[in-house]
Amino acid sequence: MSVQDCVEERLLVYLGIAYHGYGLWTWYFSEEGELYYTNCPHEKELQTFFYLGKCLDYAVSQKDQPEIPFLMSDSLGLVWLGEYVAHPGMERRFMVVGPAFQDRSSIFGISDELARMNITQNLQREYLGMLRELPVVSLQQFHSLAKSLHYVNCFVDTGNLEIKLQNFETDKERKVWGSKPVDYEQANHREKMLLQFVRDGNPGYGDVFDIFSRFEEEGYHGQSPVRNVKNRTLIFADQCAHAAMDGGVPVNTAKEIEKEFIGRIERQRTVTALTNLCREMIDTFISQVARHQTDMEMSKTVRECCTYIKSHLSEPLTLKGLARQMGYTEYYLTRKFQKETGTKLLDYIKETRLDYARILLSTTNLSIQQISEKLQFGTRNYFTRIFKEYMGISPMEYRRRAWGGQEE
Amino acid sequence: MIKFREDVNLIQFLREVELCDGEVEFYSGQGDILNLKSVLSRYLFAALTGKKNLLSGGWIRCEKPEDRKRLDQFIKEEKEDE
Repeated sequence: MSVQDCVEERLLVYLGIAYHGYGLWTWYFSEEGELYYTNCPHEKELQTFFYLGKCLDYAVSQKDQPEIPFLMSDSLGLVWLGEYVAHPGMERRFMVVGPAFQDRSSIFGISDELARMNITQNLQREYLGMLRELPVVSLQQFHSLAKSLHYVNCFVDTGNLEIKLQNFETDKERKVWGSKPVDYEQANHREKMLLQFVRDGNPGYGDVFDIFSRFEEEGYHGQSPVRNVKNRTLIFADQCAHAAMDGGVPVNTAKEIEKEFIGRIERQRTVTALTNLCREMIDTFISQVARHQTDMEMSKTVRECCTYIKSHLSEPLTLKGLARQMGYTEYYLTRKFQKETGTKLLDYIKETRLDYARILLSTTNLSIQQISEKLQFGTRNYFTRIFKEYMGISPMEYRRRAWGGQEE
Repeated sequence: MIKFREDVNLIQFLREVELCDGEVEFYSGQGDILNLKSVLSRYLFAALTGKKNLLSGGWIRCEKPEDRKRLDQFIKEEKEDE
């Protein structure tokens, strides 16, 4: 019998390499997802993990596809590698290798979350103990393992092999690690275009962003796709802040927005959430530039009035007091303000306070009550009501989303 | 409150829990309360499956009676809520 015919033997050798070389267990499932065999000692627990991460359903959904390796990931940061195995005289099934963490930082994140839950130390210890036993295998290593698996399974050249990546958050597939290297020149050009949109206060950047969001996540020194996108977005936040300053936004305002987004970027847990946040960040900077450009068309009096309001948000602001401060009558100032800005002076104060409330909600631990008092909203109920009218969601919900709490 | 059968298929059980409308909580008997509608809690629950005594000593509480019916096939015994 030639090596070409010895599929079972080749897979057996592969199983040995995966276990002894990387600490990875091997699993065989029927096309319907029934477990045939595993060498994993935590069979029940990890098989349930495989299901919970939606990896089992994904693998089953691939049964009509040709034999191509697929990587599956879950919300804990665990990665599994799979491929269908089909040969004459053998029932078609899929083989899975895993799970492994991509880096140890995932476990620290889980540990922090457990500390916030209402569970005993005993359960925390048991759970973390089990997770710490799992191996750490980088995505690059998984890439090599996927190629090797495909080779032992199909005995074909794997030079141009494209591996599917199941992203459970969106249930979308993305192709990863094709033979195509990152096109830095093109990526740089797209970034420049986006920054020009920010500089101009132009909200029509949609198409550019769509291209930008597909920009390869490699090359940002992270050990996972989420970390890579995080790093990229953090760098981009700083670039956006500088572009906004070029567009005329005051340094302090641009830096405050940047600070708000840096905090939020760090708290996101998925690529999808990061992409959405990146879009929100660009929108915020663009609207600030556009607002500033409108400001520049205003008279000196109205500009000074806006600056005064922004720097006294924590104090009671009355139309009478503002008029006195600007040296005009209340009637004249309110009419002039509305004529030049298109917004009533009282509405402007309220909206500026709400903008600042958003920053406090997402960057501080101040309670809703404290924020409503600090920004002179009076009662928590009133603050909640007008925040909801303005943002479409309650302050609590806004904070939950800003802190990356969409998962639970 | 309901108690599991020992031979329960956990994946099948969790699939049914996902379909429940109300909250479904697991009480470990050692002071842990896991809300099985939460992703992280479900992983913790899965981690218990290897510890037979922890799982079989626990109870499940369904917020809605129709959810309780849905989980009927997994039940060994039942007691009044405390």
